[in-house]
Amino acid sequence: MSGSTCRSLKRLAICVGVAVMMLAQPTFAYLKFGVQVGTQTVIVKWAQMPVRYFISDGTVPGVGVSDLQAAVARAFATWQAVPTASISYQFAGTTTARPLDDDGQSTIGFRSRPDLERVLASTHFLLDSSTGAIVEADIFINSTFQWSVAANGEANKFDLESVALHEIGHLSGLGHSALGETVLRPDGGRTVTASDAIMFPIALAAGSVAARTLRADDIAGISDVYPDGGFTAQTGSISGRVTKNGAGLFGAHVVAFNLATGALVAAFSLTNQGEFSIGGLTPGPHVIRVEPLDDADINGFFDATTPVDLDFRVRFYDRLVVAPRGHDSGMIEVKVASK
Amino acid sequence: MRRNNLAKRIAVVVLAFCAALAPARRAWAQPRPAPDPAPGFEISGGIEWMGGASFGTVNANEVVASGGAFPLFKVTNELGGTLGVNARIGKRVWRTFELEGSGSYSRPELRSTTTGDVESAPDLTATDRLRQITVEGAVLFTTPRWRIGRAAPFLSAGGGYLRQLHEGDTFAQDGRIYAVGGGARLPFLSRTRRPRSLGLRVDARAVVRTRGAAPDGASHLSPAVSLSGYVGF
Repeated sequence: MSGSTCRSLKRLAICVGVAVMMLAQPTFAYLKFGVQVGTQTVIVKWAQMPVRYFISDGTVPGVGVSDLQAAVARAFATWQAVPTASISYQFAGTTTARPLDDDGQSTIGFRSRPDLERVLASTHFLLDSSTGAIVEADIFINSTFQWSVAANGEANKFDLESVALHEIGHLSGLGHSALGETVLRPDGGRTVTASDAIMFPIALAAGSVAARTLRADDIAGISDVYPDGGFTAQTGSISGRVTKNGAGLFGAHVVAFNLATGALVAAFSLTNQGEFSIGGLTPGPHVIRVEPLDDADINGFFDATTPVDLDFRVRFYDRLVVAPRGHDSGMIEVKVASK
Repeated sequence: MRRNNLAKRIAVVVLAFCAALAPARRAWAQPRPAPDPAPGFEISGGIEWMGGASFGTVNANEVVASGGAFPLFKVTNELGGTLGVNARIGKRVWRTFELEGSGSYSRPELRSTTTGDVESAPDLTATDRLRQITVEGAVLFTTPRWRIGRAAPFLSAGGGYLRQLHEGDTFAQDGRIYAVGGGARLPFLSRTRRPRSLGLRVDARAVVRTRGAAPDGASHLSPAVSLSGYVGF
């Protein structure tokens, strides 16, 4: 709890793991989190800038406090450099506090959680549930794993900057993206084939530093939550419905492919009417592809009680859809069929 | 006698005056060539077929852990050929040269064919019917030596502005258009009174469209053929 106000606070945890995510509490995730405030769903975001963060003084072999601080600072700088987003961050110093302490300050650091054998790191929020504003966001990095801050990565070690980049996306208010392909392993885990979003939940491989660069989906997401002056005017959106047998379909993953830029940006159908909206698109014609959410664990995206429909075949929409500059495409309807 | 001589002189003067008032006609020392098919000022309008253009294939790529590309699906983009209308206005500026301004309107179809989906989505061609507007300027070169019967061939070269509007006119993409080619006028009527000529005109051009709705932003070559009626003044 923080301060003397009577506001209620809600704890929220989003994490990235090798295969299985900790459960996200909010009712849905597209590129952004939402929480229920009264009868309305509001977007989880920081209300004040810059977002101040502390670095916990715990260390792991090969990664000192200054190494951790430098890697995390690079990841923050990557998010802050998005030209169409207004979010900013500020390093507030090192601290003896540990992440997950409800102390009103956002702390990033190592903690040993061998019980979370598939969780590399996780972000925990403290929200003002009357406004949806983030009060505190801690990132814990699981010291059970081996970590690297080497410029080119190290074999069998996870790249700290890459993981920090993903978690800072959560810290900023972004949910998981489903822009990725995976193969289900016999042990229940998933092996990632490829992804096109830093916010894809399980795209991190030991030894790789490929996840230090934001993709179009991430940029659209952070800009959507924290738009700068020109973002809304300079980008467009595509909205519509996904239906099956005439009824709306919940939880369909809708991907927009820009013919000119090659960018992939995606969203989910998030109502019982199957409605979706993909914002932050570079204006121009797009190919629309609709797929079930079968490349990641649904719990990484939706509340376990949410009736996500996976029983439909992947298909493309038969029209090119234009995202007009500063406007929406107008509603389209993508009809899918059962498998 | 004097009255007769006076009458003759008056008659000669009257005839000379009448001759002076009569339309001037050229005296030809050699066989007379065909009437001038390229009058000083001409307007024309007709239909034009502009061929399609292939924009190639691009991959919708995701990224593998090593940083390499992983195609989620492939998209082959093309602009279909289309029939449209055009209008021109031209003026002869020298014996063999004309300047011409023109505009055209057509509805080509932008097509994107998706194939090779990693999750076996059926191949599909998604379309978008564009509105294409061009405004061009051109120089025409013609000479009587090239005439074939009544037909008067010419060469042309020019360029101008291209605008392609996507369906619903929600998004416009601008570019340039350049063209070289030639054609022929076939007069049905040629005379000294205005309108001085009426006829048909055929143009065949190689057209390069740059940018516009081309997803690759590059230049693409297409054939174009038009058939117009013209009136010369």
